[in-house]
Amino acid sequence: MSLNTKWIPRVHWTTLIAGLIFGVIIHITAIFALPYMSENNAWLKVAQRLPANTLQPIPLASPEGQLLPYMAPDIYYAMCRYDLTDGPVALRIPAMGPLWTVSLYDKLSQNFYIIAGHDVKRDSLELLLNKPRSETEAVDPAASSLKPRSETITVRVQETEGLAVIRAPIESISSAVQTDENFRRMTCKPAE
Amino acid sequence: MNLIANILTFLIISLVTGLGSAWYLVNSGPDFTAVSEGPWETWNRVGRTIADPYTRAHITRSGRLPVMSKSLLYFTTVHDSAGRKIDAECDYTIIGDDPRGKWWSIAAYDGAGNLMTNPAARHAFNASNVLRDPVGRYKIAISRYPTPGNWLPVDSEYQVRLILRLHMHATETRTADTTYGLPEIRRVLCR
Repeated sequence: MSLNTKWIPRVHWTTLIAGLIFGVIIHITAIFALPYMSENNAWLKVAQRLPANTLQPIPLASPEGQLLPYMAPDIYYAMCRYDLTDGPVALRIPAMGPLWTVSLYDKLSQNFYIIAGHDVKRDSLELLLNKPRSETEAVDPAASSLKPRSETITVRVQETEGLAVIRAPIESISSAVQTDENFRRMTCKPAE
Repeated sequence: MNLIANILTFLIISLVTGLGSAWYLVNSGPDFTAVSEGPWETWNRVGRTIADPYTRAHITRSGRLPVMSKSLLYFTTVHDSAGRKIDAECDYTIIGDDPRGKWWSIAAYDGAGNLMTNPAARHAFNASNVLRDPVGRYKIAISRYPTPGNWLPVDSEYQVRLILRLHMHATETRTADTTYGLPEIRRVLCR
């Protein structure tokens, strides 16, 4: 007795190969498109809530309030949505020990510039955010933790808008009080 | 009949291989960019402008704003050191010495990256506030129930994800083989 297989449709081997090739194309397209299409993008979440060129201390992350996923509950954050449309923006930050950082982000959450507390040898830091004068003067990602040679560091950024994020870990209860005070003294506003 | 079967096969293969592999690699990371030490995993190009497309997609999709990996490393895990998924019905101990770097912090989140409500209002331990034994080692208990010492409460309603942040010296040279002395996660008991 032989099994009747005539009812089973025949799939040609070229269909399998074409499916795999098209699958690779879909894969590459999806990977490159996702950063531009994701509604979970941190910029989209934060930009609407922050006024431009104003430093906003963020309440400590807690179950009741967390601006972004996976924020550290033992790190103070402050954010500034900078907009260079009308000119440079100055970020003034008092030094807070070796662990604090200032990070600049583009709209795809890429941290293109960072300076850490241990690089700052003065009592305060001023970052002057400005547009590039030419392509060659755009910020070099490889030089992202430059030691400041002057009181003001000029950072030339590629995009007109972005985020500056200041982080300061809470090292002790006494340092938390001091950090809180320092966060009140920070500013982010159009350069005079 | 054969034409329809060929079209359906083509669509299924291309969608499953294309979208399925993209989803898998954006979540778990390809070998060239996601490295692990014990149960802890990190994406070694996080936050950087030279990040590969998988890392960029992973970060954008997560909604995080990570610091570039030369200054701060993020290690995450949903598994214990034996490779079992962390189950909030069970008790665990994180045990170790200070890892490399300037400062560290371990925090517990639910699967969506939110801190979990708990009666102790405790969400993290770090190099500054963890209690240590006389030789400097620490033990952190992960449990739903109050535990003496360093107790990091979790909620059994959620999947538990741990994140270990390691603040590094920016000048430190690191390679793919560099180890950081990260702590073990031992399952103690399940209730």
